[in-house]
Amino acid sequence: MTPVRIAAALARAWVRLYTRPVEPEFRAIRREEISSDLWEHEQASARRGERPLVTAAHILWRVGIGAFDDLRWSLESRPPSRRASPREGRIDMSQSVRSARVSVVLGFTGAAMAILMFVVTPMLMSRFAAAGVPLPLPTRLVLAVFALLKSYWWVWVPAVALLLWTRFVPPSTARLRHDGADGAAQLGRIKPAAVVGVVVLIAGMTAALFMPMLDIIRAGR
Amino acid sequence: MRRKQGDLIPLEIEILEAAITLEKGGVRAFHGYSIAQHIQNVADRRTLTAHGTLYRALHRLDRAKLVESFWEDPAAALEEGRPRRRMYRITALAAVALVRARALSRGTSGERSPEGSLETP
Repeated sequence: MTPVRIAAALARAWVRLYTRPVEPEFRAIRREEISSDLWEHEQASARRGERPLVTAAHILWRVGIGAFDDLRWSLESRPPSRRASPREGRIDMSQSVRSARVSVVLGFTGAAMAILMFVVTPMLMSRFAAAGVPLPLPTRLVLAVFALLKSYWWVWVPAVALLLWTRFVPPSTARLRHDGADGAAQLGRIKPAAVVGVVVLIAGMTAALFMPMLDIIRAGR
Repeated sequence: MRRKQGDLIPLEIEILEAAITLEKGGVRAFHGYSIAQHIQNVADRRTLTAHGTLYRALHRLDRAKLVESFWEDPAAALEEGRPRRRMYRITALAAVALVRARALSRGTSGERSPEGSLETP
């Protein structure tokens, strides 16, 4: 797949995303119109002998710069029944803020787990092996969990992908409605306790992993 | 500040002016990419107008009946092996709106800018 095709595919994916809640007629027109524009752009760039990377960057630039207008158009072009009233608009905005918080928590958890699993653990294991210290139970438990996650990645990777899919691409029928059925809104109802729970879990895992370091330090003394 | 109903923003003026130029050159209908390319050439810009900005402006002009839109003949697209184009054609109202926008522009800035563009309301 060439860079231009990748950029065009990303542009189409973005169009599919923001046109989902709009009236079917406008949706069909916009999708086909952008498809045509991308095709024309690709052909014109090829005729000029433009480098594919430059064309791809130009396409992505056009998508990025126009994203705000895309969203404004998407809001303007929704069916009347799904256009938010001023009050609903405020509710939707607060839902968006909550959803953004959830995204931050999810992102932080994922990044922390990945760093612990793929960076910290191998580094510590080589140190522990070199020092020849016995590993305490909490450390062994965390290692066992990570080993399990690594072995059965084919179980949880699709599950996480599915979660992210439902998280970022809620059903079109549920979008922008404050009826409690929206996947994003459900996730948006995150409790502060959940955030504390995530932080404690990661801190606990980190502590368990670093526990044998105390023995190494003690032995060093 | 929100613009008043019926006011044209600079891009809409550029589109209408480009459409009039194309029409004078014998091109009665244009599609999104062609108008973006024309605007890029006339304004001597390095990049084309962003998708969202361009098509939102065209949609607004369509709703204001300053342009009319239609699908081209699918056979033409099929023959050339490309997606069909959404074509636009300016209406008689466009010329009136453009004159009004230019007059407003003169009123706002004291004198007409070279492109006849409006200051952002």
